[in-house]
Amino acid sequence: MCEKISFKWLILLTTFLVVFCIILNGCGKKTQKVYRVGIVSGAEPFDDIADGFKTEMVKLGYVEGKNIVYDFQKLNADPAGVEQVVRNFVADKVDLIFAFPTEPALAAKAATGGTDIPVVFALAGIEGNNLVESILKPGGNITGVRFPGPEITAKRLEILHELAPQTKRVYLIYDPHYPNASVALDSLYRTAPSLGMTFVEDTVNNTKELQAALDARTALDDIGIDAIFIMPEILTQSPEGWAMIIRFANEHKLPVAGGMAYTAENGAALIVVPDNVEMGMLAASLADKIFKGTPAGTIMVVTPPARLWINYKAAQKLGLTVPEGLLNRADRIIR
Amino acid sequence: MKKTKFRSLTVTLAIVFLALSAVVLLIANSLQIYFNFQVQRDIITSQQQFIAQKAANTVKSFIQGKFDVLKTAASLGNLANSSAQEQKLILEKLLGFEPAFRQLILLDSQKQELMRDSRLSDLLSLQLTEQKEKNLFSQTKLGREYISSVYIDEITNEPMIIMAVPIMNVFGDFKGVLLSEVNLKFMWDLVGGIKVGNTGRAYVVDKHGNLIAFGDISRVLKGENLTHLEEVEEFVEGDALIHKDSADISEGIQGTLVVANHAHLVVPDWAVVVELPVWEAYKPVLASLKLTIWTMLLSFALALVAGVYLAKRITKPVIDLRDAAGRIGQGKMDTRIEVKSRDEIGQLAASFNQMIEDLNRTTVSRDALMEEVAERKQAEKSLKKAVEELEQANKELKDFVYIASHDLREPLRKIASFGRLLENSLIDKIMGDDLENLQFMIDGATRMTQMVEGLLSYSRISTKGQEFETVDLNEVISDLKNIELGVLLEDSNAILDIPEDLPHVKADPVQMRELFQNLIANGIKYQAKDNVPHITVRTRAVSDSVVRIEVEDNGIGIKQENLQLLFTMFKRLHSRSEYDGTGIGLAVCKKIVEHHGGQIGVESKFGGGSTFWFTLPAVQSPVCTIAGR
Repeated sequence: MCEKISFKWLILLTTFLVVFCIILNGCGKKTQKVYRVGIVSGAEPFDDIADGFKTEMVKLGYVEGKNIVYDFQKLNADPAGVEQVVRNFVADKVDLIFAFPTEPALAAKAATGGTDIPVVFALAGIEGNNLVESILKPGGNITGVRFPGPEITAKRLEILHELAPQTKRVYLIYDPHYPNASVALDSLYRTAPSLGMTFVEDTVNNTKELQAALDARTALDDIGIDAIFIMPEILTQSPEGWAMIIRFANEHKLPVAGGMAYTAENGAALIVVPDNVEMGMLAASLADKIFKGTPAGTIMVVTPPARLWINYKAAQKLGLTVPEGLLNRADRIIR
Repeated sequence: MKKTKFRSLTVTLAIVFLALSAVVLLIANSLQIYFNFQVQRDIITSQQQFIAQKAANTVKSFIQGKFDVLKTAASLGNLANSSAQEQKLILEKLLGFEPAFRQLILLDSQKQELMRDSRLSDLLSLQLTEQKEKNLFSQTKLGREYISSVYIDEITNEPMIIMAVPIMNVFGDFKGVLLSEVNLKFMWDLVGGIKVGNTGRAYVVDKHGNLIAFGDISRVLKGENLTHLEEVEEFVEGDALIHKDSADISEGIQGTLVVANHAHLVVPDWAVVVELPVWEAYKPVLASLKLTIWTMLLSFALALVAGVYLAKRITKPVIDLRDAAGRIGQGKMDTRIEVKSRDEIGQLAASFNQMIEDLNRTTVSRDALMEEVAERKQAEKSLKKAVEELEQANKELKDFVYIASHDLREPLRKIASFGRLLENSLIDKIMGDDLENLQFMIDGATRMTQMVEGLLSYSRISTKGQEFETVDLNEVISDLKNIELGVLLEDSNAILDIPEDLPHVKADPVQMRELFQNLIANGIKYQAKDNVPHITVRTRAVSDSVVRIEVEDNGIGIKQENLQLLFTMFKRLHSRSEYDGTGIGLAVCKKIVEHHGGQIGVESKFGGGSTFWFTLPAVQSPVCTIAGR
């Protein structure tokens, strides 16, 4: 009897020790999850946002091909295409959708409604639409890096005024359906009077209409404008659209207040815009938080710093004298 | 017998050994871990103080750097009185030089705005003017720098501060203020880059406990208040200059347990808090703890094995003994225990084996013993039955003797009496042989009567005896002299001499009289012719409880070979013609003495007298009783 009891005790204790060792040593290792991220870019000038995102993700421990895979869909100002892309992402049940700028972000939000797929946006205007509830608490399953439209649209006009003080008539040609348009117009119309400026507007729905509008203006005896102001939208900043604009501007020696970095690099006299790579990096830190379990809707929307670029070469071509103070303030001077 | 629950000695011993080992291990290791912990805490405290101070210096440098830029700009030329173009240029240069400046405003000594430059559109730059009030002027007028508390920008929700420096002319007169709105977001990279261990965090809080810099920007942008954290509360509520350095464990900014410390910047009134997760801070202690646990587990396992082994080593011979005892109980007397150890247990086993051998040698089998006991019991039973039968026979015999002698006495007396009447009436009519025959008959009947009476008195000794009482033998002798032996003494001229007082005895008084009567009468009777009988009764002490009485005569004495026959019933040494008698007297004497638990005997020399002696139980304090009354 006594022998039997001892043996039983030994077995029990051995089992206890083994279990304890397993717990202590953490023998049960978790299998590493591979995240699938769908990235949608509205137009080529924004594509380097994804580069910033990926670079930062590597720093945060997400190595492409190892524990994260990207489905990067590049579009060219194609609203219908955007909707299809985000629908596909939802069907593929990706772990996160990273969408930029405003239109793809809105499309992603709409497509993921009713699913648990989080959305991170970048360069998206949050004013005048229902993308987020507030900066502090975006709500739903979405967060991101906002496009600081209200802060920089008016500022861009002020700088245009500093650079080309003679400018009175500013040409606005844009897609009126683009979500940020009305917000930008509101800022512009409130700023213009103090600067002695007026606006000349043309609304277009595609590049064809854009070209037609520009051609029509060229055909006029007096084109009626002193400068072009690029609205925060895609059509005029798509490679094709931008080529039309800059060609038109050069023909008529008009200074252009550009939008994205791409526009400054390709002839715009000035831009005030957040840095794409920087925004991508900020978005990556949001994605990391989401992957670590924080609900997207509770993560505050980030405002990126705006950068002032002066295309000194373009200004000189136009015979403009760039004020010294402006050059001092510029984050980048293209010569 | 009440059955008690079995408790294994092996298990008990093993558990005791294990428990003792565990206690010793626990105490030793706990002490080690405790001291380890103390040392590590001191190390962490020093490290964190160093890191916090370094971080504080970094943040301070950031702020000081901004002040330096502003002060330099303020001292360039006569900023307050220069042209608007110059003023604008300087402000623009400052904006370009320092990305953290969001707006710059130049005010004159009357608080009037001279120039403004902003990264924001003019539409959004208005709110800063509200900050112009308060104690901005009161401080800058005195030539001091001014720094506001942190506020959150309405559009971006970013934390901002106002920094202002006075503009003085060469005479030290107050000419205006250069005011800047500084975006603290640019401090974030500095704070985010502060390394606290591998996974530690650093953050900056203002005097209200509001988070103003942290790696996780969104939390700063939310304007979180961290006064609920112990370390932050200590800064917010504590004396800025007296800071208790300790590496206590508390909740951290991430909601996990951390070891935190903070350094106060003084200007501005902020603190840098550094946190290290407990598991990282105490990693060496944890590693030591892990090692200790492993060591303990190993030691525990070893102690378990050793405990079980030792317990078994101790209890196995005991268990063998138990089992062997069980087998012996079942009759297997060839059982032996294998003796291996040379200790006390080994000795016990050896003794046990020896005991079994001795048991085998010295005892018969249990069956044989049982048989013998049964036989003895049977024999005892038979003996008891025989004794009972014998006692019954003896009783019946006694009864018969008594009844016979009692009932025979009357007819015999009648034969003798009527024989004598017949002899008196026929004395003249018969003669010769007839008369002689008649006389023989009477004589025979008389003797027969005497014998029957003798027998009756013999049998009465045990059946009709009185209760024993204290008897004064002097009184017994005195009564005999006067009554029963009076005539005989007188006729024979015998001398009855009692040289000293006789003792008191515990006896039947009647039987005492009969005893002495017989012995004295015998002494008088068995005398040589013409010899005057001289009887001496004396006593001789034997012990406190026994007295010896001697009745000495000067009679004919008894031959040695006849001494043993004297006390036999009906045994006579002389013919009736020599000495008359029935041969019952001495047998009665013997029975009386034995009835009293004494002994009787005779010492005699043929022709030289005899001494009859007997012993009786004595009494200590004599109580006078008149015998036979």
